[in-house]
Amino acid sequence: MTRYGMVIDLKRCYGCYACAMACKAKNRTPPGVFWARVLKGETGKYPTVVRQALPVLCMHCDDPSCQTVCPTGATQTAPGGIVVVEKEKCIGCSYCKMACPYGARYMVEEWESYFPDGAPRSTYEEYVKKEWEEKSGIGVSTKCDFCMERLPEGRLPACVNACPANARTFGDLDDPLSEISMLIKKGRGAVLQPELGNDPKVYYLPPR
Amino acid sequence: MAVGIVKSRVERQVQEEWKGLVAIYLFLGGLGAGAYFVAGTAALLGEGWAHVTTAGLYLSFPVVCIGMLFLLAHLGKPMRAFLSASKLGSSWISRGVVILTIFIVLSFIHFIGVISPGSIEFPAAGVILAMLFALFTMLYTGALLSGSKGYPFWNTAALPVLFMISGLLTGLFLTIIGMAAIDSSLIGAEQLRVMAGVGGTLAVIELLVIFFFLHSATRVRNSRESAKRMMGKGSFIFGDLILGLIVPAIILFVMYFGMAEADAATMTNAALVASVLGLIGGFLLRYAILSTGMATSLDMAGFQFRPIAKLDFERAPIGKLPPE
Repeated sequence: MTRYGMVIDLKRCYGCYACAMACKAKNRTPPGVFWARVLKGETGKYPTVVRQALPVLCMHCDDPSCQTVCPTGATQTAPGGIVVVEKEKCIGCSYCKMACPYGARYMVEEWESYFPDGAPRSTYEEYVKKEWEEKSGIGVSTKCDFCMERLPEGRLPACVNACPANARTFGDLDDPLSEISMLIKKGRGAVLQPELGNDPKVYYLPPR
Repeated sequence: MAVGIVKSRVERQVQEEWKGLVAIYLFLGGLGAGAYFVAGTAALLGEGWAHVTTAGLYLSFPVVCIGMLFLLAHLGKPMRAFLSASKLGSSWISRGVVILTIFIVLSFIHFIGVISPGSIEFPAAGVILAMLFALFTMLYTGALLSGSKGYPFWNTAALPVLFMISGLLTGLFLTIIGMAAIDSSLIGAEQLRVMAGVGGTLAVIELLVIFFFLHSATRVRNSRESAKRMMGKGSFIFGDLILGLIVPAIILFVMYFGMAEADAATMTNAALVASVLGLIGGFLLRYAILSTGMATSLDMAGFQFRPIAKLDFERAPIGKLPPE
């Protein structure tokens, strides 16, 4: 059975935010919502300081704590192991956001304009807002879904497509011969916060 | 006007989803359940404690119901709240909904039995069952937070215990206020002395649990910053620890040990001062815990990355000249 996952090679990622922008463009998320984000971290002391980018998204855990705490069953695991939110069932309690150790959840209370000084939404924003309300909803929890509607067409998630350094690889974790499985095996792939026991399906190859 | 990130990096890591409304809900839930526990204990003690029972029952279930209204107001989709008991096996919100519903029904039946004698006979077994659900309610308000894996400061078994002790203490304070409000002439000095002894002891236990909670939090890297922020909050140190716990504990112990000869009116006034301070402290405790919750850091290859809870940018003034 297919179990979708992703590998992010931190040696290749240079923190250009192309993934974050591609996700925004594809999913048309409201201001302040970043299903794909890039965190920056530093280590060492002058003059041997190293800066590193860490792209994060929903880890689509095998044992997702967001799904465990969801009181209505709105958070579910779809075929392929993709964790999704059924917006009609979500009550907007934010418990999933509190339970997710990866900060992958977003609550959208209001679709504000991208323009400053309280400017009204533009015609395009009104169109996008309507689309957002139909797909994800207002007042409910939202998150990355691995661009799951593209997968049956054989297309990759938008962040994977957009990465100029080819740092992201998407595929089937259950296929031992898939590129993603080989990369995890050969490149010492590791997950974030393994001690929490969520079993994320997004792996990282170490930066050095 | 400066353009860019306006809040400090640490400030932006503090969660902003669960604050005022949830703090009020957690406070009122524990408060109402605590008041019922006091009323139930008084009911089991006999007729001599009838005034305590009446005061506790008058206040407990309405307070919990008002608390639930605050929870509903917090929800993004309150009209779907009926779905929230669907995952009893794993979600503390689902369990809480069931616990609260059973508690409200039982305490309401008890209340009706007390205000119209002869209409409903609420047996002692029912009182004990309702008291058990009152305890579950108090524990649940803490368990709700301790189930949050993303916030290591809350992800501890100490919180349900702390919220239960605090619920019992604030419930006792609310009952004292209720007794004075209903009919202060019915308050007995000896009853108040016993309640003061119990309240003082609970305040000391709560102080110890808070110390243990914060001490253990400072020993864990991911919750250390939250613990430091909580200990640096004036509203917590002065509002909860000093005015909400230490001062009431001193008043209550003075009442218990040093006012044996005092009349009921003097004792009532002293107890009311302690109760009002204690109630304010109980709310500030929950608010401080909620408002200092910080997301866990993400560690990879020796780097620590902190997710930002909410992006807060001053947007660039498009089409305008930059400020002088």
